[in-house]
Amino acid sequence: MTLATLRELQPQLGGEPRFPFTKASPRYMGSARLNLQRPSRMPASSRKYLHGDPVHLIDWRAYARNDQLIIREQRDEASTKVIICIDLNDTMNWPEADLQQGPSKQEIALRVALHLAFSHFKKGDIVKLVVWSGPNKEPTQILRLSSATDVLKIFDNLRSQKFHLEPTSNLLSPYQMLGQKFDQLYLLSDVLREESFTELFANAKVLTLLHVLSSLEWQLDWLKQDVCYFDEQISKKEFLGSTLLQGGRYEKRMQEWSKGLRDLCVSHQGQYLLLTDKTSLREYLDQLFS
Amino acid sequence: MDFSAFQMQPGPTSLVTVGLFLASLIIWWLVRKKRLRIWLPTLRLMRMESSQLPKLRFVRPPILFFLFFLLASAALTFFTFRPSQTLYQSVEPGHRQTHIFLDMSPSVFYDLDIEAYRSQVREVYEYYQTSSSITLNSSHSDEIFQVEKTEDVNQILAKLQPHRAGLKLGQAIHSILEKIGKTDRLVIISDGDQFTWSDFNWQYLESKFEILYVPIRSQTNRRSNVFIEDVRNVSQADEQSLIWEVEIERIHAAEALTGRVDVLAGNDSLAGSEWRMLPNQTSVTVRVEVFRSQLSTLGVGNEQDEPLTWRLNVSNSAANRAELDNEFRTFLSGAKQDILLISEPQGEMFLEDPVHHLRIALEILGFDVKRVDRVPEEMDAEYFDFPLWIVSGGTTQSMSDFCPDPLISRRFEKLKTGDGLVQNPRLPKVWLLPMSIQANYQQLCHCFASLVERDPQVTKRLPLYCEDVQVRDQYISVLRSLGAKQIGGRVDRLVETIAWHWNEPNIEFELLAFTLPLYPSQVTGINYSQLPLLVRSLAEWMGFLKDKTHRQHHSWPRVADISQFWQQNDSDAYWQTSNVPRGESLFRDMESGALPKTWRGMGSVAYQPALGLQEELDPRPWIDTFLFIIIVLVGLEGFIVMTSSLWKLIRKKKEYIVFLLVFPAFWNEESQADVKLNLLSYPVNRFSAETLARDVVSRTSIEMDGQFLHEKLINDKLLGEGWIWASRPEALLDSNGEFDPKLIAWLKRGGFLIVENLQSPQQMDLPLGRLARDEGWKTIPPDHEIMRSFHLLDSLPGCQDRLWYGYNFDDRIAIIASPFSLLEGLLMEMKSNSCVAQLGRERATRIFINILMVALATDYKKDQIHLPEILKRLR
Repeated sequence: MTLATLRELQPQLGGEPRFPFTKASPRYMGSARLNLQRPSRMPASSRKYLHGDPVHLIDWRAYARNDQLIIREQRDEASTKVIICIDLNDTMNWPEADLQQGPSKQEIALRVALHLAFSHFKKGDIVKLVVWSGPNKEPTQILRLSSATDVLKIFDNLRSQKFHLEPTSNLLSPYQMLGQKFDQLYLLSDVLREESFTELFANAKVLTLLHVLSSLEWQLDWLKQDVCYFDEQISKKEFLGSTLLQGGRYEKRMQEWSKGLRDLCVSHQGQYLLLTDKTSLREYLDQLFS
Repeated sequence: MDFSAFQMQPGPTSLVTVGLFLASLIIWWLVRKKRLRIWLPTLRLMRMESSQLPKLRFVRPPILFFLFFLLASAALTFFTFRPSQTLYQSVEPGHRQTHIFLDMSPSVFYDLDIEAYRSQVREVYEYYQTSSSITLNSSHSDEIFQVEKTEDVNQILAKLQPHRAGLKLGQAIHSILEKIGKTDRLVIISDGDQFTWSDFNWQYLESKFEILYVPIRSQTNRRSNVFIEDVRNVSQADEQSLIWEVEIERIHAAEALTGRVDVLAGNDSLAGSEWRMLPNQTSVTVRVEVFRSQLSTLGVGNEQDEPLTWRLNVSNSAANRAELDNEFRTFLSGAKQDILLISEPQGEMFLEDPVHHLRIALEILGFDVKRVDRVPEEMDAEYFDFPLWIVSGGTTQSMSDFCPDPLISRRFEKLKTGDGLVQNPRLPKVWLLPMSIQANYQQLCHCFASLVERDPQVTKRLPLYCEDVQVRDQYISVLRSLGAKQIGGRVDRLVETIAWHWNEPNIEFELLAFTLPLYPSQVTGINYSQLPLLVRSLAEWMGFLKDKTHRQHHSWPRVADISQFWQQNDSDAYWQTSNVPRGESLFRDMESGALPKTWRGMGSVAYQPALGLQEELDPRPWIDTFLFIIIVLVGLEGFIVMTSSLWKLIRKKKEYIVFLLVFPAFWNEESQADVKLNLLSYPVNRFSAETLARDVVSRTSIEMDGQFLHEKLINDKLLGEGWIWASRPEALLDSNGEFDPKLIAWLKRGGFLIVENLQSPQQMDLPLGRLARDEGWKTIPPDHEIMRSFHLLDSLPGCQDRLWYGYNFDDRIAIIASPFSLLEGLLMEMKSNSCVAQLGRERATRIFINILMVALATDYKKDQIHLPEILKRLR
């Protein structure tokens, strides 16, 4: 039995996104926990006093009973403002169909993005799915979504088009970020575009970089020694397969790159997650939804 | 194509091209080893040097395109070799008058058959026969033949043989041109002999008409020739035999030669001698002896004009291909002795001897002068062969030293007694000269008296009338009183006389007593150039010279230029058997650059550029060839590529075939709009619209057609046009006197009508009833748009108080009526109508252009869109 991978990811799968400030709530009013605190008698809302907690929330009677400082608090919830940004750079369309080597990065990114959007909608969050295409410094188009149902519709639509979303597609509308602030920003990209994504850190409280790569880019066991590999953007760079495989220098370089990105995200209080088409659903769900 | 004229000049460019060609030849075969190439975007992260050059391998190129490439490269490479050829120019057929001059001088006929010469002449004639009128003459005479057909040429040629005299083209062509007057082309059939051509400044004539040179030359490059250069009589008068020295010369001396030279009188051989030339020897002199007795048996006298013919035979005939100069003629007497000059030497010849200059002058004129210092004591029969005695005296010497009176007297006596010993029964003519201006005139007077009177008493004793003679004036008066005739000076100015002439016709004795010494001096007023002329005039007057050049040919004539005899009518002229001039025997060619354009047969002409310049080369045929090759190749390649891609397209998508089939339907010729005259009932057979069309095209941007449409009646064809010119109002009316409804409709549709020769607008009112009557006829005012639609006009000229009218309809001028026929003035001679004649062509053209503009664009200047441009031009 083969493990299910992201190739089969559908919006409805999995649980809830794990978010530092969120917790499962039956009321589905949103995933953000408000900082509004008020005293509560409910034992469920009790916990031990921590240094710095407001003194008026201490249950003095309980203290009198068992000599322990118990805080009785109740917190309310609100919708999280979520923005999911998909990079549709030309490299995201790799591997192309004629290579016949599995789904493109764009497909994985769209599947993940729609899954995230669906999950957040389910939680009652405000979700925007924006598209970052062309040589722009920030996303300029938005995928029109207003509910979890929309997500499913668009998912079906995209699946019928083999997850090929052109910047000219009629599903997209122009969009400007205009310095809007979001609670959560997911960036799905292979980070191969020339423009830096670090400016997006300013727009969100938390940025999660979902580094979407093709498994072919991550692992070179498919390379052939006498085949030429090139990049369109850099005209003179052309490598024989044998050169790339020699001494595992490619893989080392990729791991260095990935680590660098992870460090960058962490330094900005963000999250980094490497996703390929071979990443198993379980691994993905564990990372984001456990 | 004549490949002898083909030239190539490869240079560094050729080398580069060949190199590039070879390099690209390899590239055609070389392709990169084909590998599977896969895009891997993450490579842009790799900090590695790119890999080594992909491996290459040889592959056969696409054969057709490769062939095209080869051909194009070969053409290009060949082109960089700068191929060119000598420029040929076709002879312009437009020249109407052609004169062909035949050089028949001896040098032409070196190893050349007269028949070959004739056929060349015929070829030239036949080439020009159809294109121009041809006159012809040969160097024999200045007789010009107008030839109409080849038979005429044959007849003329049949009579012509090579002449022995030389030819100088300069003088000959000058005389010919004076005679034929104007010609468009002069064709000279000649060899390029230096002797013949050297004085001919054809470059000057080339600016006036075309000069072509038809070369007649044997194929032999190295022409060797042996000829008799000179024959001299070296014998003394009293010798029993005549000794002759024959000088034989040759050109291109190489091997040894032998031969024989014979002398003939008439057809009888007199004598002969063998001769031999060593290798590299150019001339040899042999002696031939002719016995006088032999001459008398043949009945040949010692007369001066008796000719002897010298004939040269050469053992090796190849060394002597020229025939004419093997024959040489001399007078039997050899060199003549014409003048006996008796004069005491006065010192060094040129400076001090006064007679020396006279002698030179006489020799220039062709006289042979024998000079003696004094009168010989003894009677010498030889002296009486001299027809002229010139006696110079009157200095310190005694009279008997210079005055030949005893000889003359004795001779006279003998003549009187009829002494048979006298061979020449004549007295010589005597010139008595003073030695200097301060001569002893008394002595001269004495001499004159004794010569005239021939009395021994006079000789011994000075006559009374000479006693008082001391100076020149007295001498002159004595001469005058004795009855001599004055020569020179004026009747009343005896001092100016040159000489006094004494003539005794009964005994043919003439004496010329000079009063001046004949030498150049300021005192005598005779200068160096005058002296020979003076002497010549006197000699001519006294009958020693038949004409100006008579005595110059004292030996058998050697005529350098035959043309100087063209004017002489005596058919028995001895120049016809003249000796061949030396120059004609030497066969020196002119340099090719110094000859005119050369006729090359079939009407092509090679440029002969000026001396010292490179021959003009013409690369154009080769450029055309290469261009053609390259265009064809590129076209073929393009065609093949296009058809194959179209074929692929059709195979891929079948529906394109429909487009391809439909495409030609949209392919339409560019629609053309031009303006032409549409005339109704004009006398068109005298019309020509070409000039008018040219005027319109040159002044405006309107393309007007030089042709015109003409109909006699209004019909649909005419009404299909935009404007119509009607010659008169009646031409528009039908039998009922009304306008054709179609014409009315045409006017309403926008037609523009010009009616000429309108007498009055009422003439047209009735038929126009169908048009809107409210606007009607109006005189065209000076501010009408016609006055400014293109040219600025003051007004439209009236004719006999009749004006121009305009009929407005639909806010535009629809009909213009002119009182006269403007078109007739423009399209034919302006004589039929006085109004048109007064108008002048320029003004008529301007009016026409303005009407044309109004017809095409109505009052376009009213349109606001043109305002900025109009204002700009007004400023």
